[in-house]
Amino acid sequence: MATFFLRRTISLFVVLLCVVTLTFFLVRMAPGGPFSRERKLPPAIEKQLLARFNLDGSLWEQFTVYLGVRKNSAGHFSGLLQGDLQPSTKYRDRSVNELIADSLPISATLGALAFLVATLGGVWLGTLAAVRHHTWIDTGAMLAALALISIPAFVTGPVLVLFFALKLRALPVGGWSSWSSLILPAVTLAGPYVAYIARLMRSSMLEVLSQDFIRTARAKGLATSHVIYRHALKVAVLPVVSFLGPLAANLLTGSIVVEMIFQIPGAGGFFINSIQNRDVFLLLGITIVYCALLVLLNLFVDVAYTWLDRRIKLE
Amino acid sequence: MAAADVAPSPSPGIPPGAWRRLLKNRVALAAMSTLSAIAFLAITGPLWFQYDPESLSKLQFSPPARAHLFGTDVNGRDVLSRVVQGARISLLVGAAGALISFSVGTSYGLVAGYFGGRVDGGMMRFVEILYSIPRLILIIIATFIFDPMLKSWLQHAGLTLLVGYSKIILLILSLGLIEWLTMARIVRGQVLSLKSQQFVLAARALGQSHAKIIVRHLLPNLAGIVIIYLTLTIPAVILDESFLSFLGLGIQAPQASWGSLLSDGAQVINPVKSYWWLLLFPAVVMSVTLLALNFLGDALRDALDPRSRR
Repeated sequence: MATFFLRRTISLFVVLLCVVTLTFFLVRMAPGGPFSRERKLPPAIEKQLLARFNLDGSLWEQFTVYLGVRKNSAGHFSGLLQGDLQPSTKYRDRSVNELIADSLPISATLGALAFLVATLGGVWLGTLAAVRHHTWIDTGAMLAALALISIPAFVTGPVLVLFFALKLRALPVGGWSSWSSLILPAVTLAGPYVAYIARLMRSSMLEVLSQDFIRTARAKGLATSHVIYRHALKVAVLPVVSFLGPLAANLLTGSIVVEMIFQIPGAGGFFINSIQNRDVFLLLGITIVYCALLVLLNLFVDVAYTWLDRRIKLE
Repeated sequence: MAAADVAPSPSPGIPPGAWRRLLKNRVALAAMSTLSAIAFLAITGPLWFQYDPESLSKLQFSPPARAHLFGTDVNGRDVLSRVVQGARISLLVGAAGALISFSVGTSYGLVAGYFGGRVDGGMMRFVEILYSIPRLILIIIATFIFDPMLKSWLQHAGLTLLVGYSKIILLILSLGLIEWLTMARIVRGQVLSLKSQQFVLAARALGQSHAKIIVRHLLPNLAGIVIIYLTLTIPAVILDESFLSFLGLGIQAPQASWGSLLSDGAQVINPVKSYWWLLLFPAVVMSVTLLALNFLGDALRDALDPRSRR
């Protein structure tokens, strides 16, 4: 167990260092800096701006300053190692730390809600289909699942808005004001993954239901619901658990689109803006935070997996 | 179905009777004919339609009528011919991207699984690391940054004809180079179980080279699983491309892909005046294509791997 956590922690730092290095050099080697706009700045001003953001000097110097292992122009170490993600080059009076602290909780709430909808809905639908195997419920559920997988979120989103918000006027069109404005985005984001998990769950449940210990449980005269919920579900849910890591990654990127559709002021919108504005530090900051989140979630999923299935040992 | 009377195949490659089983599957047949029809229209489209997908006209937001079957958009462009052009680009990106992911993933998985041991450990650790990076985010960064570079490079190399297609080339390359991880894992697992089987041991005992064993003995036995997964990669790549184009980071106007068309359509959804045809037609065509590809992938799995049938 201890070696497992040690190895995963080391791997976490390796991943993050790779991502930081890759993104930093990609962004800085690209033509066009954060201050090159249509209206060209006087060279002296641009030079001063670059110096203020520590973006002058060689790429290696810029990189080490960003990491926090070299003194910046103000003469102290203030970078990633110190937890400083630098000021935004577009929103001048705000730091990347502040921008992320404001927007990430919103994205995280949306993501967590979609995560719940996807896992609970998927497990329920898949179990239902497996229990009602060879009936129209099974066929219908699987057809619906395949359809949901094939329709992208930016189609389901506007359609849901058109129906629930504009026709029925039951839910808000978008924005981030009340809990009811969370429903449509979360459902849109979760849709394809409900379907994916339902398919996973169904096939693994069918496999489990044909095993001996289920037959024994049935032979003992246990009620069907007891057999399914107390005995089968715990084993059948394992493939779903191993999908939770990739699910988190997909929800993270998927939420960018959903935030655009529903005009939610989350980190996804800032990410897209930062690319278009070449807001170097904001782009780097969001990428790093996303990666760190993802790696931590994966670690969490692995621990959850061993907790559910004691046969697996962490190594 | 016929699955029961077919003798179990000794290898997990393409089992006997797979093609027959596939053709007996009505869903698979429907999916294949839909896909060929869409592909046929996408390729021969310009010969059939009187409107150029990129030419503007004064007829803005005209609803579907006989002149414009799918209506026209904000710039008076014919939506039908734009959907067909979108099909051409989306299918091209999907197929080419899937092919790249197939070549990279298969060779990577083959080498890792075949040589095993430390090579395998290192290669799979690398895959694990890549798995834990939000890949679409890196793609967004990469396409945005490499696009101007590729453009100027193409200009210098004298390939001015291709300059307008630099975004498409980048999308294909980056999506292909990022979607290979699962393929590599599947192939590696398959190779691990194959290489301990007796026909591989026999080949090795006969003194065949590694390359020959891989190409002659392992590769054909991987065909089944690779075909299944290839069919499922194409819709994944198409979805990724539409995702990027929807965000305005993929295909740029006046060119159209399904994602950019849907993004145009989603922007004009409002309760006062709904231009529903801008959203409906691209959405239906794209969903039908993805649905057909997913159905085909499922049917192929049933046909190629009879044991998985339920």
